[in-house]
Amino acid sequence: MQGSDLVTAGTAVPIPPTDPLATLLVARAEPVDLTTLELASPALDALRDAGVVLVVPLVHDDRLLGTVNLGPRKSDQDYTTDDRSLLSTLASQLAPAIRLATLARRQEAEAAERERIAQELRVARVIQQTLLPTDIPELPGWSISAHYRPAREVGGDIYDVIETADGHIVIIEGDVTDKGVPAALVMATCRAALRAAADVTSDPGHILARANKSMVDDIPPTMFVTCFCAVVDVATGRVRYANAGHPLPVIVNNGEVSELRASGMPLGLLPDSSYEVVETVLPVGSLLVVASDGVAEAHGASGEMYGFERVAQVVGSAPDAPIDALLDDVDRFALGPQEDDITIVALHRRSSAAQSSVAFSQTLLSLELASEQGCERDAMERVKEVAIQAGMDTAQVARLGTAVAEAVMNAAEHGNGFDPEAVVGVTVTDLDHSLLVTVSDRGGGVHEGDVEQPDLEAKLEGDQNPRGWGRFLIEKLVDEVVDRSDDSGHVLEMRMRK
Amino acid sequence: MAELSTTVGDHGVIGLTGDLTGTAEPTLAAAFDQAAANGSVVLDFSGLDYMNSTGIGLLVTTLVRAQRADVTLRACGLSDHYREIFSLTRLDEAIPVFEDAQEALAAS
Repeated sequence: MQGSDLVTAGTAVPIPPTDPLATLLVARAEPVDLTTLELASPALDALRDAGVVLVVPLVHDDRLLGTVNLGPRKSDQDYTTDDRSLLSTLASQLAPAIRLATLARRQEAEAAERERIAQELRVARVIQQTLLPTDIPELPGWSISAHYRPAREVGGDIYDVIETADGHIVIIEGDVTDKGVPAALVMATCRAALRAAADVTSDPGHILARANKSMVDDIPPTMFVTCFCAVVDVATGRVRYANAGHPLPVIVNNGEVSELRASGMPLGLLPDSSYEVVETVLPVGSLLVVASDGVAEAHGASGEMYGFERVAQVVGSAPDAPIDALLDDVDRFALGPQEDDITIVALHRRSSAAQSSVAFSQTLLSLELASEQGCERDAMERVKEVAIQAGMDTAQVARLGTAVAEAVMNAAEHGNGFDPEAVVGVTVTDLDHSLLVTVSDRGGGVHEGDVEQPDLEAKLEGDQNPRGWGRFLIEKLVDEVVDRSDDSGHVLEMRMRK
Repeated sequence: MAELSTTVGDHGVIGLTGDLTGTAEPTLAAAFDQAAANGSVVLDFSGLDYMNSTGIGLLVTTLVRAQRADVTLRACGLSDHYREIFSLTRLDEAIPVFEDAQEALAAS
């Protein structure tokens, strides 16, 4: 803080640090009489013009914090030695006090700024969570699991698991250079580009090439994304894959580990990169694991890296829960906070398709109900019965029962308009780890799902109809809800883990 | 699949038995009017078989009436499942929930 911000007997006159008067005031560190001072100084001239006669410098740590400027005494007498002594004492108290106050204010501002940034990061993290796949497809005979753990609030890793209409799973895992907010932004761009490409082609090399083309323009020139892409045929276990510089995924089968190698440049560097496609098979019982380098490059107590061999070893010994095993092991091994974003996607082929279709997709119940008041009660009891028999957890059965009752009520009332001729169809299918319940109606009328979210306060205020809880409850109670409408009617699909 | 029936006991405790659905409106309203004379009402759900979204709508309506009449409303005897429903709909913020009638009355 330079110059004079204190006003006593006159206006504030700034004293720039380069002005000779500033140097003089710091050197003297006592009240200075301007009337007798001879010094070439614009500040001095300005002070004299403003009627200042005596300047009391506030000096702390050899810095001029400010001045107390005094005009002539009202009595027109000169300032006495006692006066100056008093002023000096005053100045010696003021200077450190001002310094302290300035520091305190600066610290408060910095703390507020840090909190603001922390809050933004919290928001960004929530946003990023919504961009990640929320539901991994459930496929009979396969277990797919994924885990994403950024090093900071938000990260630069991506993963995606897409089920295609023609019986393939597309697995994507990517890693943006850097971490934190810049990486997260690039990640969002990359994910969009990959998804768009996967919509158009099922060749992993073409997926990467198309995504790469659009990213070269959209992301900063110094940033790039390593990415692995595999397309798996669900029925046969055949895998075609391509790699844009991502750490080598492994297939673990009966203790044997093989690395998946395919060459290609990271995404976002060169506009016309092309990607080699390699084909292999995932035998029954084998495990495909893709891990970002946050895993292999974690550093341990003696500075050594976790390494790929150890990744393969750990997942190979725990094919039923490879991700948990790997995370536990890395966390035990690593010293210090997590250095880089960690993303792991694991695909385990538990059984062949032939076995799957018999054991894992079985219709347990198929009902047709007349659309009348109260029809949901009986349907609910029957669904709960088969759910218990299929081994569903009691609390889940209760939730599913309520959700089915609500869905059937909606179908009868809103879908079919309580027309006794119109039928509500209910089916229950066992998908091994979960049940699929469908409720169908002929699709007329407004469905409760189209209505606003129920809000208790609004209802108590009288702003909302006291009813309207049905669809809300279904979505809260069931693991996954999907609406399908076509010419023949409307079907509500509810998936519930056992 | 039984219609709702109610018993109004001492201290404004309403015992609910059967199904709480839209058709229970007159039954619940009558019980409430009777119990409200007490100044506070406790809904005891231990005899409840089934409650659906229209039943929840009824509870909301009852709550509105209670607020207008300056009568406190509490709940007890909910199963784990219906306890969860109360929580999801945030009904438990407006209608305090207790284990049993004794606890609910002690809270006055």
